[in-house]
Amino acid sequence: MMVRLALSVLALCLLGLSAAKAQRLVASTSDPEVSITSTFAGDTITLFGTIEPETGATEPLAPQRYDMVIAVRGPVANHVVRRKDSVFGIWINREQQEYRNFPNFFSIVSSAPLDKIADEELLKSLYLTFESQTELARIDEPAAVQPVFSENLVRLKEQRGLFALNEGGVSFLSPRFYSTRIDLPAFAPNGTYLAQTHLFQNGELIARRVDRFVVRTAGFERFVGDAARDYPLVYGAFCVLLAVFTGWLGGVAFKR
Amino acid sequence: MQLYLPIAELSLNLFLLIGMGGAVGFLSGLFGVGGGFLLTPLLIFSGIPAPVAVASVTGQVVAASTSGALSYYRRGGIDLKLASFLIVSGVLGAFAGVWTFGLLRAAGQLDLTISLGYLIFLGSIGSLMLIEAARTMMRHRSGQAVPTRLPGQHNWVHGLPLRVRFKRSRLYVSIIPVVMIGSSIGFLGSLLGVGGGFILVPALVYLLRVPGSIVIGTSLLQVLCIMAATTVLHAVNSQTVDILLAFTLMIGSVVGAQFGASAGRRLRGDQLRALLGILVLAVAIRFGLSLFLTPADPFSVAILGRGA
Repeated sequence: MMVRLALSVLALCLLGLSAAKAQRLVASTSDPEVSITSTFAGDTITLFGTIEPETGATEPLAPQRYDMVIAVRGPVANHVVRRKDSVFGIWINREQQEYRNFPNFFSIVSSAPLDKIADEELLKSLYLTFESQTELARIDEPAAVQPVFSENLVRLKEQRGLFALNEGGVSFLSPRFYSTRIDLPAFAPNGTYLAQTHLFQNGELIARRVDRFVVRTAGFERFVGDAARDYPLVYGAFCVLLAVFTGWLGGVAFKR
Repeated sequence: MQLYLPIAELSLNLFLLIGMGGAVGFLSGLFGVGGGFLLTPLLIFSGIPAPVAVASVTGQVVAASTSGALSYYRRGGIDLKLASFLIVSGVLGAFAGVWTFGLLRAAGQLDLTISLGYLIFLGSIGSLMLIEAARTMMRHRSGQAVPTRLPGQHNWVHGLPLRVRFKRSRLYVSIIPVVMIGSSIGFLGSLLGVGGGFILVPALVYLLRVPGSIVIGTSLLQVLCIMAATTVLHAVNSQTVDILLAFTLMIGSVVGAQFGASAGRRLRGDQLRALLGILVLAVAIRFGLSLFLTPADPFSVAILGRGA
């Protein structure tokens, strides 16, 4: 998948160069690291940047109309979609479909409705639609996948706020300075997030860049999560000691 | 105040959690049961993933049984030899339970198994309790003396081979039923997130004829040890024990249990059993509904592993 993505990125870069579009993107994020703390109820991260002339270009950019689509892709995980069916009156998970390395978080923000920026085929080939994310996943028999599973995977991710589309979320503060806010829900998964910024003009991709930021549970919660994963035996034993102590303390305090 | 639960990976209201712990603690003090069979369903119904609910409640049950087990131990109300047989077999059962738990979780059938398990066990035990309590009540009303079964009476269990003497319980019984009872409690407890006291106590009384003065303490010690082992096993095997969730529940239930115990002294035994039977049946019915009613959403997504 990474190879496929890398190749398409490479191809697009070459395409961009050969079209001799003389723009590049300079960007930054508000927080290179977003921390989830105990009262975490979601957070936003601000991405901003400018459209600059290509390095070495002598001509300043003429004011033009740009369109922008930013895709933020969170860490991948192995997802499995299951469908319940009634067997002798009992609802049981029957059929299932695995999507390995499927993004656990995916958000698209754009400066205008997507269909006004570029045609659907181009957006699909750039993986800038929800549906195309399933094509990035590793699937055992891609031909045998029932589309209904892919549709419901996307629907359930949207429902949890882990897949989000915000058309008009990118605003141009000046003709060449843009800024956007990405909402991260409370249960945003930990890991590295890639923000892929795509600059369009007249329905064509003219520049793109990738930025990364990290989301991690901070402080005590992170410590607990790490301990549970890395030292499960110690963690389990500590839970038991804590329980015994709490129970004993309760017994002493109330003199049962 | 929202509390982020690092293993469940969601935020829940702190006071809701302590309140649930407290309410279940109150009921457990009232009825003299561990409360796991009420707490695990409550957590599942409030949106916590079933694997996390089951594994974290095992930690809570440890806390809930500790003070009771300690006070029975001080009073000499525990048959340590019988308890050690039950504990060793129970830990083996817990190993099997946690292993099965992992398999079912990967296969996507854990929720179904938990619902079916609760429906069957709570359904049958709730009905038995209710029937028994209703009979006692009717006799009580008609003025008859309530016959109490005497320990020491023999039944088919006492004819089995491999007999061992348990001095403290004044018993000389085969270890086969002891090991069977211990291991099935361990298996069910680790799979369903219950201490199993509500199955263990009747089994010890009616099958083995353990005297009433010993049975509660011994069962509390067995539940304590099995749940302690299960907590560690779940932490190692499935990493679904949420210590923050378990701790908030512990605090609520330890406090709630004190009020429940004092309220329990004002009710008659058969009334208590009837109430408990109704409660147990209600939980069973709630699980039954989730199995038989058309689900609002037949599709579900689970994450198995972080990917590569």
